[in-house]
Amino acid sequence: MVKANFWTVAVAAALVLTGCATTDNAASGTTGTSASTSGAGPSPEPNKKLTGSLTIDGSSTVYPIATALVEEFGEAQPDVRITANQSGTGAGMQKFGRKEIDIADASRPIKDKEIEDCQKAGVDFVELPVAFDGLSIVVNPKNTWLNSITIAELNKIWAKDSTVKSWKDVNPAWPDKPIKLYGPTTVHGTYEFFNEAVNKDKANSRQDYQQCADYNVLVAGVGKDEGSLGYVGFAYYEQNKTSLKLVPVDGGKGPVSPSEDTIRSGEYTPLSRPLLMYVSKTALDRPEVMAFMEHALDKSSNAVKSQGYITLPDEILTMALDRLKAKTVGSVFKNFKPGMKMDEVLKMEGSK
Amino acid sequence: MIAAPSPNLRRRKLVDRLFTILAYSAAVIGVALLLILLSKLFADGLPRLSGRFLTSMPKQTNFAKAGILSAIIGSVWVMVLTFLFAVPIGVGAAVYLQEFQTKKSRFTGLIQVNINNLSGVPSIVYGMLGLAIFVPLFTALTRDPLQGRGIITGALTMSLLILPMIILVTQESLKSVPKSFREGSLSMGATNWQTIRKVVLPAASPGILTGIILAMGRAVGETAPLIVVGAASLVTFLPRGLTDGYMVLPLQIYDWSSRPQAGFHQLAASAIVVLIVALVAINSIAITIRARSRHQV
Repeated sequence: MVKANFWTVAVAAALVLTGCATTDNAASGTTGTSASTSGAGPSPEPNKKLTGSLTIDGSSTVYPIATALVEEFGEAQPDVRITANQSGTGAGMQKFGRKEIDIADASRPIKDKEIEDCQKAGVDFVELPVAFDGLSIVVNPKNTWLNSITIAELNKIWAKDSTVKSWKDVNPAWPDKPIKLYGPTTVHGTYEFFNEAVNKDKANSRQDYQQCADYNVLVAGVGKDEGSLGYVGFAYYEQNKTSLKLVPVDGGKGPVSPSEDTIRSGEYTPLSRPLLMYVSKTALDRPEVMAFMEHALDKSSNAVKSQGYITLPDEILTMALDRLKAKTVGSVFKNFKPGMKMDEVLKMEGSK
Repeated sequence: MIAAPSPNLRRRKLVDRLFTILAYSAAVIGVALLLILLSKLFADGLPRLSGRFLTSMPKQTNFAKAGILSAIIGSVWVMVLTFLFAVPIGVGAAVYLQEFQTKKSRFTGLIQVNINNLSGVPSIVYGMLGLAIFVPLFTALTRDPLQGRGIITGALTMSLLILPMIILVTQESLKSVPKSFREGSLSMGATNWQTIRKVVLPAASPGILTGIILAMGRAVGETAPLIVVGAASLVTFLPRGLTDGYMVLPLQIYDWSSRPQAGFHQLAASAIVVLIVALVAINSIAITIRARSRHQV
């Protein structure tokens, strides 16, 4: 946990101390040939060697996908110098708004305040979904009594003023064993998404749970504690199947277990979420940035799958690709509420 | 009344034995924990260690081909630059405080107290200092927020971190040079500078060198300040200039160990083995130098 605490401090510190420093990022070290007209985007020829540089920062949940994309992209375009980091969604958005990075990874949609900051700084962004994730409710494998859980029960456990101390407090049929809660720290996009889905309020959750900045710590905690319950991204469950028990969630239509199919189809609701990338519109004028994002939305990419996340259906990828090529700015996902289907959200842009 | 030992004496002897056992087990616990940790690390890390591990870039999917080349090169860059910044300034400051300021003034007293305190400041604080001073400075100079967080920023921050260590060790080494050396030199008509350069510094150099090497060892293993001043988690290129993006070995370990896949955890273990071997090597050099110099005196 020392490491974990440090990380929190470091990010907080970074937020507080970097005040100034806004120069035009796009002007530095790029090839600078932009033949972009709105409408049909200029996709560079596949075998054209690109140079220049590209910086990515933001969500630690999306980071593995970003790194895998970087690797795949690097095989085709070894001369593009890419830097990737994982400061967290919030910190990444701040850097994005200060023009320090080209692409911001986000495990939650952009906030109004962040949109405002971008507008003030003159940063137009294109918002693109890259993958699905399903927040997975996990308990200890020795837990025999919990075979599914409803959103109401989760709310009872996690609500801000929750007095639940033992499993019996939630459901009289469950044993009188102390319940031990695990979750990410409050700066995580995952925390905010879970609370919006379960407690209908991003900031509203009880605080007397084991807050983990490193999901591996969370997994280890749930794995050794019989009365434990926690929530993690689906990839972390997939990689730790033997030490965790997955709990199907009843979102109103009966219990559904998160899986590739149920998350992609939206059947696993309301804990499925889109993972997003925000790209600066100015940066998209650089062919290497455009090419990288096109690769991120390419069907043939194995990046999402290899890192344990759920790939988007082809029609969503096509919609997103259109959005990228047209350089449609603005956020539609800020209207996203847990439980919504992604194609519905993407169609909203027409009305916007 | 000399025959039977008093019960008091027997008790005292018992307490004495008990204390010996306690102290012994305290010593053993430390070593045993270290051994357990090391054996676990080596068991996890050795299978993946190979020449290829040292000369490949990190990989996201093909663990067998992953390596720590970018981290090693980044660490070497940061170390060399840190050495270039910290050693002249550190040794210079120590020589001034120890050799030129023989009269205790309030000013040097203040500096001395500050240096003593600084050597105990947590490394993250130096990271903040770097973020407050060097990042804006190089951002302004290069007109690019990215280059403001390049290697030179990290190296300067690391230099601040080890500067107090180098100053204190150098001062101690200078103190241990017998007064007669200086007096002999001065009495032959040498100036203060000549005495320091030709007599005092050579005599103190093994101690100074040992201190510098140990300080570099600390800098190799530090992660916290570099995260704050912007070392990357992933770079697809090897740095070519002072303001390029970079990553370092401890950060690579941090990155891998926070991933879900067990393959990454094994890679982290291998990288830790490399880091530990490097640190042991660095410290052994320091110990060897110290042992040799003792031999000579």
